[in-house]
Amino acid sequence: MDVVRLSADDGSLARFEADWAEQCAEMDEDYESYGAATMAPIRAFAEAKADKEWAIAISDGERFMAAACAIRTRQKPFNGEVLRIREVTVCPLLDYGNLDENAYVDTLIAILNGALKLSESDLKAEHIKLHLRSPADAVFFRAFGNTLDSKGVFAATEAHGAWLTISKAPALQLAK
Amino acid sequence: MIKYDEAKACNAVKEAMEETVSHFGIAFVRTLSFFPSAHKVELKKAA
Repeated sequence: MDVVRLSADDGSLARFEADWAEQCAEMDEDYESYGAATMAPIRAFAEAKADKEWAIAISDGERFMAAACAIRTRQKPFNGEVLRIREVTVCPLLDYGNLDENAYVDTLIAILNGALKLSESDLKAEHIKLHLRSPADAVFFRAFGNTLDSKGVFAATEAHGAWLTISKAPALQLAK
Repeated sequence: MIKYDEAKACNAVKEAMEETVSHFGIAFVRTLSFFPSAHKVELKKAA
């Protein structure tokens, strides 16, 4: 799976919306109301096409498996650029349990690794922050963060409040 | 200081996610906010 940018200009947003509308139709769901709270900002980002605010999607080559907003910014107390991933939304087929269990795991991995790839290419950043919107998110990603931290690959991995933060180098710099 | 290696980083994310999902189970994963229907269930519970 690969991370791709969604844009109203190059037809990628239209392809994405057609795919998810078709997936909703398979589930007898209405695409217009699917993930209404998160899809609105994703569409807005795809239409605005700002340099540091991207609408992104995870594609398996046939289907779009997830979508999100990616924002590159500077933020205290971080030293260097921060890539914030917000409004993560999985595709209707995953949401309604119509895909193999492996697809869940592969999609979660692709979201995080897609963010890492963006942070090394078009949206260069030293830190990746994933927005955790629910108590379940916090419990799950705190455990994930601890496991990832134990691998010793990143300078730091921490779930704090509503964010999972993965820091490459350099390490966090305390605000003064 | 740890030198960042993208290939190692992506592999570590994969391993950590597989271990975490294995621990929590797919049923818990489906309660994450990334799943719009999980939010609908929360709203029904709140009502």
